[in-house]
Amino acid sequence: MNTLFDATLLLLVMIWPLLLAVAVSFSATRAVALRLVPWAALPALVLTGLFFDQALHLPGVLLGSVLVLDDLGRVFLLLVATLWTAVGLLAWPRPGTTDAERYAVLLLLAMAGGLGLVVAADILLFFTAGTLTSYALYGLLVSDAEDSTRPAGRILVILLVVSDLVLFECLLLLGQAAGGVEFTVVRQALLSIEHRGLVLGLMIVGFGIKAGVVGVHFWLTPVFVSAVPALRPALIGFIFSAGLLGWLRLLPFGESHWPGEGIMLQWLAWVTLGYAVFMGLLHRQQRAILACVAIALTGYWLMLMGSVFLQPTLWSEIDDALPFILLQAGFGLAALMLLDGQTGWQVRGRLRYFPRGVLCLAALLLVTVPVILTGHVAKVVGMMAEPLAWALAAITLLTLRSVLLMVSTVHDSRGLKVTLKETQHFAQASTTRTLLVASGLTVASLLAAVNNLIELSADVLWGPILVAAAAALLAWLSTASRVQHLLPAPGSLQLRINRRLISFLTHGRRVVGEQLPDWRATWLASLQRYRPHADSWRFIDRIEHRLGHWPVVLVILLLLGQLVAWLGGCVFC
Amino acid sequence: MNWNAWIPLLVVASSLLPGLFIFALAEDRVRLRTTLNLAAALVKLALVGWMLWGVYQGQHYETRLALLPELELVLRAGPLALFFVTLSAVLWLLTTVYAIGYLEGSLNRSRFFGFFSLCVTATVGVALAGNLITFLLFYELLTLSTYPLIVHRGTEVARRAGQSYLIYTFCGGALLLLGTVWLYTLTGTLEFTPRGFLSGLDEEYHSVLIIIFVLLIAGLGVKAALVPLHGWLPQAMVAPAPVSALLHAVAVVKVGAFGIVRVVYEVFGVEFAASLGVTKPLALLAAITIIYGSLRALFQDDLKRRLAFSTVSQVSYIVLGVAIAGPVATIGGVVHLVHQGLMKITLFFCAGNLAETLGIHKVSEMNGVGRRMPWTMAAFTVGAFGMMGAPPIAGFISKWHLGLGALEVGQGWVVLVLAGSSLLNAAYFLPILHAAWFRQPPNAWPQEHAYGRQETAWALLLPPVVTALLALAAGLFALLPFSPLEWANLIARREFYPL
Repeated sequence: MNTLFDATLLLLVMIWPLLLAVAVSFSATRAVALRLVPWAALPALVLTGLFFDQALHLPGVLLGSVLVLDDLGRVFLLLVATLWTAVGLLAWPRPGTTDAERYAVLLLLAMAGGLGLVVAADILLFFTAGTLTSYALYGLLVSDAEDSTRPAGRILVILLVVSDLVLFECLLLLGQAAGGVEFTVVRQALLSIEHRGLVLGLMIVGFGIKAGVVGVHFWLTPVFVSAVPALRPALIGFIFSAGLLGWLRLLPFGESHWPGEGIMLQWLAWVTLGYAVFMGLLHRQQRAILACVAIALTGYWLMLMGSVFLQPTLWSEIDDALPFILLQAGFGLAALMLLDGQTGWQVRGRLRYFPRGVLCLAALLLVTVPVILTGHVAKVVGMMAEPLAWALAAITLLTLRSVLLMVSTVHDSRGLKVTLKETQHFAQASTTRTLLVASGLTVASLLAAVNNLIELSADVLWGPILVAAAAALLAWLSTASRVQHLLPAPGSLQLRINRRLISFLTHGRRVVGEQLPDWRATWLASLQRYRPHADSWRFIDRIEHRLGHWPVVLVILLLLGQLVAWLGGCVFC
Repeated sequence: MNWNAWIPLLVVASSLLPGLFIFALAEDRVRLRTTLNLAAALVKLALVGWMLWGVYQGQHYETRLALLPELELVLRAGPLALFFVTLSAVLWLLTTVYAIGYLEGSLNRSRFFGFFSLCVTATVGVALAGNLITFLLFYELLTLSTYPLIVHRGTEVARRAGQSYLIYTFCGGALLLLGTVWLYTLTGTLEFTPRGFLSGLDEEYHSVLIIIFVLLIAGLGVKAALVPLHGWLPQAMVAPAPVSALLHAVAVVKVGAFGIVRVVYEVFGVEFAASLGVTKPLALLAAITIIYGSLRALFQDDLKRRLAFSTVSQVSYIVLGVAIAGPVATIGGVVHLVHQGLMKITLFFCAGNLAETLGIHKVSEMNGVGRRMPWTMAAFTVGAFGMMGAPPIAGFISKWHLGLGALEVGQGWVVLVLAGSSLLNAAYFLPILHAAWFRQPPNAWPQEHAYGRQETAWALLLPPVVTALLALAAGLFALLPFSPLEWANLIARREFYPL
């Protein structure tokens, strides 16, 4: 294998999309560059075919950066590059369309960042790539979006800023302790760092925002619901590469026995899973439920991480299998996301059932992910780990619930034209093209699943399959058509409680939203009767007016955060 | 006197002499004035490049001229001085190009460019000053040469801003003079020395030295816009955009911060200053300024005013780095001299472009401006992200070193200040970027000028794009030879913390 060729290819993974972005910016090269946009991830895809580990030192870049292609990176690169190629094919900004250049530049920047995350071998390049992909993705989401997308974008950008700050502090602590920036050095430093709890906490929050850990997950559902179809694979790529990969690169799995941290992570996983199930059962919008699936998957990863900290020997069993399992999960979830809202297409003849077939297969593959991983863990502990079984049940329940709702939507809308939510600037991805891309992702997920399944015997899979089957039954019961039959009988206690609850919530909303402001206005008016010319009232009015602005609210929150951080800092110092 | 002894003087003269000549030029001698301006800037840049290479190789450049008995005018090109001179020379060239485009067709251009050259002369003089008295002379020259630039438009608002500027800076200058004279009576020398010249004084003088420190820092703090001495800066933004750019990125504000670096490191010596207990209050003052400036910026609708408060905040990073009193933090503080300059001048150039091309002065008028002026707003985006400390732009490298440096000496609270400041920076820059790129543009701009197929004149567009690229390169290629970070490393290694 030619070393120079490999090194060039490794460099091109991130550079090629950036070069294309520059070319798009100049009118002389724009047309050609725009045609190449769908193939911007090609060097990355080619690189995944190489079976040798690569490392490329860039001594002048940042504080001495390194690009690397290792086993974990290769699988992630395949996942992320494929997902971005899917986005490129579906969201191809054609020359001549309004704002095509801006879309293309944002798309290419987000892609470069996403791919850079995978090949980065040091914390600073990783952080840089994460920042690049985050803000560019935000730009893509809000570009000429509908009104519903803007609030979602706002939540996303606020959380991205918080995530970056938290990660900055975390990486500073790690960098200072390690005396270097490469992952290998930093991981070793984490084993002996003084404030391990603080660093782990920052890491969980920082990457957790991007991965969708409960409490900092608020962007996920609104963004999943409002994102244009073509961008959905990018969201999955973002969750995996900017969130999950951060944990995998930095945490010393298999090298550390940290029972306290393990239990804490498992508790966080329980909360995350519980939230995902609760919200997933409340939602009736498929994409919102898919967001809950993503949150539940994150809960599953957290549960697994906690288990590894409790029992480090687990890592040797799942270390090799995990990348392919992630591949299967990523492709499966992306395929489901793409197929949502698109299965009502008018397909005639033998291919009549094709969209729904792909949908069911993608769902099945996603459900298989925790089944396989739980099976691997069962090989080590000799029985099915109970927390993982619950996590598996949650994912199965939510995935199948969303799919059943999607299928019922197809049933309801049969004969109606399903409109795709796309702006004029994105390529008008035909239904066929979207279906083909989704099918491709499903096939990729299937290939990964076959690779994962052949290593497991039936006896370790038996337990997880039973749990999944039980959860599937629950999912079937929970879908809309079944719920109607399970409505409480008139006069029953449940119905009375429901009525009381609804009444309480309605009154509460009225008091907070309507009566309180009225009381305040009356109170202020009566006070002003006594002191009509007092400047202080004008001053208060001004402050009140200011309080209506979101930056002011943000500042108050920031000050509160600073106070808390300060108190934490005092303890820390 | 050898050839090397003349070069620092030539660097100062390279802008002084053309400046004096430009004063005498008639208004209609546009071509000659432009040629003189550009030629002088290029000559200065060449001379600085020469010295840069020489100092890197270990050569010594120093000019000494008798000023008073026992007092000399000393111009010396050490690594720190050269660091600042290079910034001034590079940005002067770009600002000159920008100013030529900006002031095309306006009145009193000879006066403007004359004072502009004097302003750069004073800045370079301050940078090369080898002792406190030389520093003081050029420091006051800077005040005098900047005032006509601030009031250049001749409006009532400009006149008031100029008055405010003069009052603040003369008071600051008086404090600095008092401190300098007092110090001279105590020590009999004012020569800048890499690790200070005061540590040998008896303990009985320590309380006096603390007072002198306060006087010097207060005097310099006016120009560095430390809270509560910053009042003049937001008002001074009424000046034409090239002046604002130079004022915030190189000349006045940066000279104040540079002066604080010199006082802490080359007058007191950082270890001696820390032993006097003056660095911690200075760090606290810098931290307050950082947060206060950002908070004030958050509520400004006037774009240049928002940027001015941002300067108040950002320049204090330099002071903070110095006051933390550790090698890595020093690198962070010193490198921010250049990084902040590159980013802030980009932002001011862009603000000038928006005002000059579309008549946009307020943040609330910026909806959709990214579609009309994509290159300008791309440069603005780089500058804004750099200010937020987003990688890989230069601001990130500064913040990383400041944070590491603070942790190194056990001052974890600084990391929280940095995070808080970044958050506030994001809060006042991201809404601008969102409005500019993702909101629908209005049907008509406040005051649009047509520039053919270009978004604006080349002379206005080129400088911000170049400075934005420089800010990006300074962060992305931070460890390349001659990069600002490498030079800051060299300064810390050779002068402040020799092994």
